[in-house]
Order: sequence, then C-alpha cells, then structure tokens
Amino acid sequence: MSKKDSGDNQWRKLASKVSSKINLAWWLDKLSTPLLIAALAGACLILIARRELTDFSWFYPSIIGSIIFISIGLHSWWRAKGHFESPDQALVRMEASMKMCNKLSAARQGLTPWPAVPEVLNDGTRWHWPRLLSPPVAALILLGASILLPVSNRSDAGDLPLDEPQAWKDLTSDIEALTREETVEQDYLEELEERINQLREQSPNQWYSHSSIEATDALREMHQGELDKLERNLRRAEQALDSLQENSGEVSDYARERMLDAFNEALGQLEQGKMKPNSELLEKLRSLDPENLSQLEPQQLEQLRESMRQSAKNCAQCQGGNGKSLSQDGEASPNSLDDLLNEGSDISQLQESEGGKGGIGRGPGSAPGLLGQVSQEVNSGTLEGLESGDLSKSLPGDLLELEDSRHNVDKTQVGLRAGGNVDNESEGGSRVWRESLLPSEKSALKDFFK
Amino acid sequence: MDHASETEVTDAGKHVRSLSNALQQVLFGQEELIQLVLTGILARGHILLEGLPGLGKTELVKGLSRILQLETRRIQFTPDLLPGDITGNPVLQEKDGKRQFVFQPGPLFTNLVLADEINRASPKTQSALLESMQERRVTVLGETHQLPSPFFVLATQNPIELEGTYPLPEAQLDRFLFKLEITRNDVDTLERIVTDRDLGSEPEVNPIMEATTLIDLLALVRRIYLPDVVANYIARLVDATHPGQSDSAGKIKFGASPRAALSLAAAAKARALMNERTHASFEDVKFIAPSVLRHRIILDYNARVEGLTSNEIISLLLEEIPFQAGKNPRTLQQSAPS
Repeated sequence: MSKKDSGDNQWRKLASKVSSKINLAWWLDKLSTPLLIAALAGACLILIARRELTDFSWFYPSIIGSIIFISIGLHSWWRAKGHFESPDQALVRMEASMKMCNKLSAARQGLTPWPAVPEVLNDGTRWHWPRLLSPPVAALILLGASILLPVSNRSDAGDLPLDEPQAWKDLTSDIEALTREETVEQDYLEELEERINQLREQSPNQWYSHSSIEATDALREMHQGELDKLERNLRRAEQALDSLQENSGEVSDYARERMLDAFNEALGQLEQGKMKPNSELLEKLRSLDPENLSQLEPQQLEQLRESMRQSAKNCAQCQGGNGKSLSQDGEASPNSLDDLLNEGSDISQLQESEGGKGGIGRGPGSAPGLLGQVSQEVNSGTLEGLESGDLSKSLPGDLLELEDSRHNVDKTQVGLRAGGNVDNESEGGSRVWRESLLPSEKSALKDFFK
Repeated sequence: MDHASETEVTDAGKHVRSLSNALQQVLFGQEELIQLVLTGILARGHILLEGLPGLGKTELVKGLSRILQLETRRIQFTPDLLPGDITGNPVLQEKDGKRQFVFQPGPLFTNLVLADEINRASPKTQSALLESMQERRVTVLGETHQLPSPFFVLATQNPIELEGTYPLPEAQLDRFLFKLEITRNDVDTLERIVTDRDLGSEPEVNPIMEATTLIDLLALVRRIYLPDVVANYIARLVDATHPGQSDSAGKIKFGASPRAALSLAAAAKARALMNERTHASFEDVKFIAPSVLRHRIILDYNARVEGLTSNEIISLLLEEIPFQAGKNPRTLQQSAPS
C-alpha cells in the first residue's frame, strides 16, 4: 500500500469516526424529548397499574416498554437522518476546525497529497454532557420512582378486616366483666348483647354510618345510665344498712325511720331498675329485716355489705362507667351530696367525657374559630349585674353596661336676639349626630371626619 | 480546465513575494495593505483606497506601476471634470482631403489608472467609469474602444472634507473588488519614514516584473481550485448578508450582490496563489471578506444610530456562519479550534 493510500485510509477512517459521532449526537438530540415524554407517561401508567391491578406482573410492562423504546429510537433516528453527515462532510469539519486550509478537500480531489495525520485530532466539537445526560437520567428517575415508590394496591385495602367501633368493644367488655363477676342479672346482659349483635349484623360498610353511630351512642348512654343507677342504689342501700347497724340504739325514732325509708327506697329502685343486681344478692336484701338487724350475726351483715360494695365497685369499673374516680381502696367516693348533684346529669357527663370524639354529645354548630379568629368582645364600660324586685319581669344574667365619660355640651351662647339678626350660624345636619349619638360615638365620628 | 500545479504555484509565489517585498520598500509598515492590494491586482479587481491625506495612497499606486512596468495614468478628479476628459473625445481632423472625427483616447486608455480623490468628480463623470471598470471598454459616440489589458483602476478617496464631494453610487462601489481602509502608521514606522525619506523625493523602486508575467499570473489565478465546500461557504456568507437570512444581518438594509460572491471567489483564489497553494480555502475567504463586503452592504437607520459599522457587522457574520454547511446538534458544543 502506498503512502498516499495509507494517508487516505487513515483520514477516511477518522472521518468515519467523526461522522458517526455527529450522527449519534443528532440521534440523541432527537431522542431526548420523546424519551422524556414517554418516560413520564410510562411512569404514570406504571403507578396507575400498580394501584389498580390486583395481579400486577412486570412481564408485559417490560415487553411493552421495550417495544415503545425501540419505536421511539427508530422514530428519532428517522427524524435525525436528515441531519446526518457523511464522512466527506466530516473531513470538511475536521479541516475547518484544525485550520488546515482545506488540504483534505484538495487531497480528496486528488490535487494535493494527503497530509500527515496529527497526533491530536480535533473535529471542533465535544460532548455537551449536561444536555446529553439530563433526558436519560430524568427518564430513569421517573421510571425508577414509579417502580420503587411504595404504592398500595387498591384491592389490598378491601381485604383488610374492618375494625368495629370502639363503643361495641367497650360494651362487650362490660358484658363479659359483669358476667364473670356475676354482678348483675343475666337477662339485662343478654338483651344488651343482643342489641350489640344486631348492630354488628349490619354490613361493615354501615358500621360507621351516622345512624349506626347514633344507635351505638344511645345504647352506650343507656347502659352507662343503668350502671350509674345500680351503683348509686347499691351504695345508698349499703350506707343505709351501715347506719342502721351502727346507730340502731342511739338515734331517735324519727332518724331511724328515715334510715329505714332510705334503705327501702334504695331496695325498691334496685328491684325496679332495668339493670338489677344478681338474683342472689337481691334475694338476700329482700329477706333482710332492717328492724331486726341486731339479730343477725355481724359477720353475715358485713359479708352482705361487702358483696354490695363489690358489686358497686364492679359497676364503677365498667367501661360504660367512663372511669369514675375511685377511692384508694377501690370504692367510689361515698359523698352522697355529690351523688345527688350528679343525679340526672348523665348527659352532661357524657358530653364532657366525649368532647372532640365525634359522639352524639359533641355539641351543635361549628367548632369555635372555624371561620377565623374569635373576636374579643370590647367591654369599654363597667358591667354590673341587675337586681330586680319583680323576678317575673327579669331574666337571670341581665347586665347593665355603665360608661364613665363626659357629654359634649353645646356651649353656644343662647340669649335674647334682635329680630332679623342672625347670631349663630346654622349647624345643619351636624345636629343629628350631636344630639342623638353617644359621646364615644360622637368622638369617633369627629376623629373620622377630622 | 486543468487546475494549477504545485510547481506553477510555487514559482508564482516567488514572483508575488518579490513584488510584496518591493512594495514594502515604498510603503512602510503596511504589510496587510500591500497583501490586499496585490491580492486585488491578481484577482483582476479594481481597488478603492480610503484614508486621510498623506498616508501614502498615491505613493503605493505609483510604486506598484513602476514595479510592474505597467503604463500608468493619474486622473485628478475635480468637480468640473467631464466624462470626455477621462474617456477621450472625438476630434475633427482632416485626412485624405476629408474632414472626419477621429477618436482621441483619454487617460483611461492605460494599464493602471490612478483615480485620485474620485469622490470629488460629478456623478456624471463617475458613471463614465462604470463601463470601463466592468467591461474594460469605452463607448464614445456609438463607437466602442477596448481598453488595454491588464486594466486596473485604483481609486482613492478622502473620508474627511466631504463638502463639495459626491459619494460614489452603490452601482459604482459594487464594481470595486476591494475597499481598503488605510490606517495611520505607528511610531516605529513613522521613525523609519523620517529616517529613510526626504520630503518631495520619491522612493527609488526597481522594476520587478514585466507585464507579460503579470498576465501569466492572472491566468494562473483562474486555474486555482475552488473546493465545493469553499464555494458553498462563500454562497452562505453572501446570502447571510441579506436581511432575515442571519441574526447578524438584522440591521442590514441591503445585502451583497452576486458580484460580491464572484469577487470573494476570485480574491480567495488570488490569496491562495500568494500563499503558494493550489486551492482556495475557508481561511482565504475569511481574510478577504471584510475588504470585499464592507462597501457592498448598506446598513439601516438603526445601525447608524447605534454607531455600528459595516466592519462590525461583517465580523459578526463571520462568527455566525460556520465553515461547514451542517449545524451542530445540541448534544455537542463547539470546542476550541486547534
């Protein structure tokens, strides 16, 4: 091979390399935008598929993705083809960048010999790495994120067992506790359980419906009321029994009569209540003669009182009792005044205990501050309570606001005037607000129009 | 047409080098100007020299005429100069008993015309040069007279003292191959001028080349190979001077003519010969482009208001238009040329 031929071949090989580089750059340039769009669409589709399809497999998405990628590549190649450079054009690019005075073009024409190949070749271009790498990296990140992001399948959520309302669990727990301790009559517990089961039997989708929650709340409220009532009556009966036992010989007949009445009343309410104590305790109390307590063995009486205390304690410890405060020995406070005050205030207790839990006692209307900050009431004057001798014409809480301020007195001199003369200029409409507004309002208006 | 061979080009290069060296004895410190003037001569072009008085314009032309042993005439253009004064007039003569008009050739009938201060002549007289510059002939009273070959017009004009002058029309400017701007000399050159020259005495220049040799060189220039890619570059460059064809042409009102493309090609070939190459190149075009294009593009009002000159626009054009026809993809960026 002659020297000329070898130079020719070397330059042509180099030109082929350069033209390949330029053509590859064009292909990558045309590929970047469709690749990004396809990656974005693919990522969205993968996320949707992972979310919606129960048996999602990577096999078909991989095949479809590969086909799409190949199609995009071919389309981009077809678009870039118009810009492709031949090796001869690459020769021109090289001779221009290396300032060879078109020696390669002349040599290609056969006018001059091929010049020696330089050690360092420069085709006038270099890779624009940020521009080159950004689209594929972004596409990889998009696809990777769609694959790796934790997305739970929509059907998975349906498979999870729905947790029943807490109130049902509390009531069931109460039923179990009361059955175990044999505190109350079994009929009541069976009825309560039947009602809970009725609620459970409805579709799980309806467990948290408004009507179901209302029914549950009503059931719990009723149960709580019965528990409180039973506990209170047991304590009254136990206290009355205790007083009768200790003070049988020291109190007057009147006081003794009152104690007997209190015991009998408590016993009557125990018998009439929906939730009755267990039949054994109730039978003992019925058979007890309060007037002949001294005939009983103190141990028997103490055992009876202990069983009553235990029953009251069991009632207080039930979930339906909402954690009523217990004394150190596990007994509720024996303050009868508190009991009386609390009597009939079951609902208020429920409201207080369930504030913010979304129960039926959550209260009407919107939450405070829903529409913005609650404005401060401006009480510029002094508030004083009103006392009235006639209570039929007053309402409790009537208030009078007193304000300490000075009146603006019109100091215009008024006296005898000669006819036809005008001493004072008319004040026009200002009279209206001067004479009908409060001093503070007048000063505010003055400040405004100043 | 066969292309010039390496040997021919090398021999021609020696001649041109000797010409250049001789001219540098006439005009100190103006190597680039001398190169461009010789390029223009070899490309058979007419040259317009613009510069302040006393920079050596006339001296350069006179030196060139002596070196080349060409017949030279100088025409001092003035406002009262008539076309007939330069082309020649028919004179009534009696010959063989008959009285007839005989054409008396004017100063244009020479090889090298020095048109001094050409912008002082009236447009009528200036236009009398049009036919002679383009077609190298003169027509008077219906009779056409061929001018001698080679024929060059080297005109000078003064950029100051514009009162009472007539700017050259675009058509006539287009006929000049180059418009060369002569700049002032630096201190070293001035010192050399002061040392080597006396006021009023012309430098002694020996003839270097016969007219026939020059004609051979002119013929050889035509045989210099112009690669297709260079021709394509010239075409793209001239096209880019037109408004809307390139970013740099945004402030150009009228672009260069096809004659400008021909001039670029001819001048590129001439420069290739001067550099002892058998083919023209991108670099040749880039070198001579400002001299060829600066008087052929007309800037719009905005460019004039902003103080832009033709030279600045041409520099932008040369930066914008790449040598190779294809543009680069965005995934590649321009690297520094080696």
